[in-house]
Amino acid sequence: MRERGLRRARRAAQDLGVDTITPDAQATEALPVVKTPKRARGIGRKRRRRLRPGDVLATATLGPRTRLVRAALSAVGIAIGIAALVALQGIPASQQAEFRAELDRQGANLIVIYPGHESADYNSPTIPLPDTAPAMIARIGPVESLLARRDLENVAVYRTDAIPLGQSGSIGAAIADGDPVGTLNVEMTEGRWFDQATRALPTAVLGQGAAERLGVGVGARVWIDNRWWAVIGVLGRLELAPEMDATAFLAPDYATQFYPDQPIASIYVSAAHGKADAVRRVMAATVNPANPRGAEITSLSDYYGAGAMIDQMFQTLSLGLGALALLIGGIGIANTMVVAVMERRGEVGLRRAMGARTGQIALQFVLEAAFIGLAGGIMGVALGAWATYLYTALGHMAFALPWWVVAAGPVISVVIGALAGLYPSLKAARLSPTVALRAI
Amino acid sequence: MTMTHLALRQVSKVYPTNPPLHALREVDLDIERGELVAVVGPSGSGKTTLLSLMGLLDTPTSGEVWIDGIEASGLSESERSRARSDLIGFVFQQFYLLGSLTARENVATGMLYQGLAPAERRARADAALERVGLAARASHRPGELSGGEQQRVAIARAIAGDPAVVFADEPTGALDQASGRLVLDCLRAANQTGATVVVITHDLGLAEMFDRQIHVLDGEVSG
Repeated sequence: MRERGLRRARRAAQDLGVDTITPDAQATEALPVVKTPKRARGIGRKRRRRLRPGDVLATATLGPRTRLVRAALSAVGIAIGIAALVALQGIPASQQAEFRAELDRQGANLIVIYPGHESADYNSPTIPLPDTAPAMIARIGPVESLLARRDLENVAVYRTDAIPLGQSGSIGAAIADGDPVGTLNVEMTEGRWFDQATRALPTAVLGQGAAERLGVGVGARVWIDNRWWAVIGVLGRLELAPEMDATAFLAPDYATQFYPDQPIASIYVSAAHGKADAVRRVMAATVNPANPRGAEITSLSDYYGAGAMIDQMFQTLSLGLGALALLIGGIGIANTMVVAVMERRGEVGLRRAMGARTGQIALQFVLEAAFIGLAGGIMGVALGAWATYLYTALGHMAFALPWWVVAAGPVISVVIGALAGLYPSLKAARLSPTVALRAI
Repeated sequence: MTMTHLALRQVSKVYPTNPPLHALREVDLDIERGELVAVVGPSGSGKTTLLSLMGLLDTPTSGEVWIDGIEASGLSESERSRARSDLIGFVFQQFYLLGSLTARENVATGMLYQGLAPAERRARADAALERVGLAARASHRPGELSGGEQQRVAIARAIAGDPAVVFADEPTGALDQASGRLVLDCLRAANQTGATVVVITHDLGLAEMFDRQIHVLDGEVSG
């Protein structure tokens, strides 16, 4: 069984008539030089043996297992780099997640349309929004609700007709048509919004600020432009449209007969979740098909872009810092491997004597370095994730860690480890067996 | 009928120092299959160089090295590695045992590059440890063994793969007399199972215990 291949080869060589050593050969007599063909020797490259994966793994982890503290310290270098990378990606991602959550709470799906201006100059005359705009907007599929507001200029609101003119408490009046509850994500504090009946009667709904300043509620009457209006409802705090908080909304059908042709001051539109951008893209042409530039459209989702831009800058910076930390970690591994190769020259010589090829020696040390890198990468991801979690927990923020960072951490560290181990590994592989064995 | 197992033909080895060091000079040598040979000579005489060349650890500056019917100069580095794993077992003065592995694992590692399955390596390792009388210490690490026992583990590692030739470089150099004798007994036992055993030593008294002595002096061989 032993040396099967070579013995077979020797027999084959004899069959081919090439020389083998015989007992008759004289010590001083040179044998005829006939090279045995590699094919006949049976030890050509095609028959190269490979180590089993389990053996490769066991051999590659032997060094770190034997010198655990040193390997761990080397891995810590990489771990710090990966942890920095993970945390510096995770923290902005968490901030972004928190920012988005806050925007959602604030009404990220809210789109507000104002009359546009004739030129880029903000003081230039405005272009009125067409009266057909609310109906047209309502036809956009993902639009869930809307509210159109027409401000009544120079119309003041008083608690009673006994209040002197001019002491209105800066409470404005407006005609609002649509659904403030669904659009502005607000509840009625008391009473209700206009229905088909009350919208044609002298009724009013007060914003929270207006109700507080007037000191009235449902059932009271308010004095507006020499008419009594019955208060039928009070809105909750209008966080998404604070400019309307101190406003008395008049029943649209009833009020229009006294204030016809009032221009639309603004239209609030609530789009289905995640559809704000899509709705916004078609909004200008829907609002004013004749002059799509005649409407100014804003939405809170604009801030997503601003947040993303800031994140991009932060991520670029963090990638730079992470790369620097990884470079330092890589140098640490390279240093460890150089020392390991110097210390283990005897082992290298022994393995060569036992039949290890140069490639197998190189692979052993490269994998060993990669293994240290992998350990560092896993430690780093755990450390970075923990740091991110700690940051978000202390700040009562949403925790978010990009999956690619978790996946990339160990991969990057393995590559860095292998690259760092390349030079020492090649150095080990190139050691002559005799030199390596003499080293001890 | 005996058969030449190892042969050197006009082998010279010159190290490129300044001035060049002629470690071996036109050496011709034949060792028969199954011989038990001692290579003796003072320090610096060229014994280890001779072992390195015969063991395919190094290449001669000129001449031919034949082992088991194959002329080594025609082999690539990879083929030389394979020849070492299949044909040759080495025992060194410093043992070169891996400290974190048990005796069994150390012996099994000796067959790592032969392509044997792990189970077979373990079985052969146990058998080899049995042959050197250390079956009971198979689970011990080198640090838990005496010097003589460590060297016997090294011999077990060298013979476990059933090599055709065992080269031992000063195997008793670091051992006391009793341990050295046990080590020699192990090598002798390996020889009796068919392996050609070549032992390098500077100890003439030890060399006399071998069937044949080859003397090396200033790079020249006699005997």
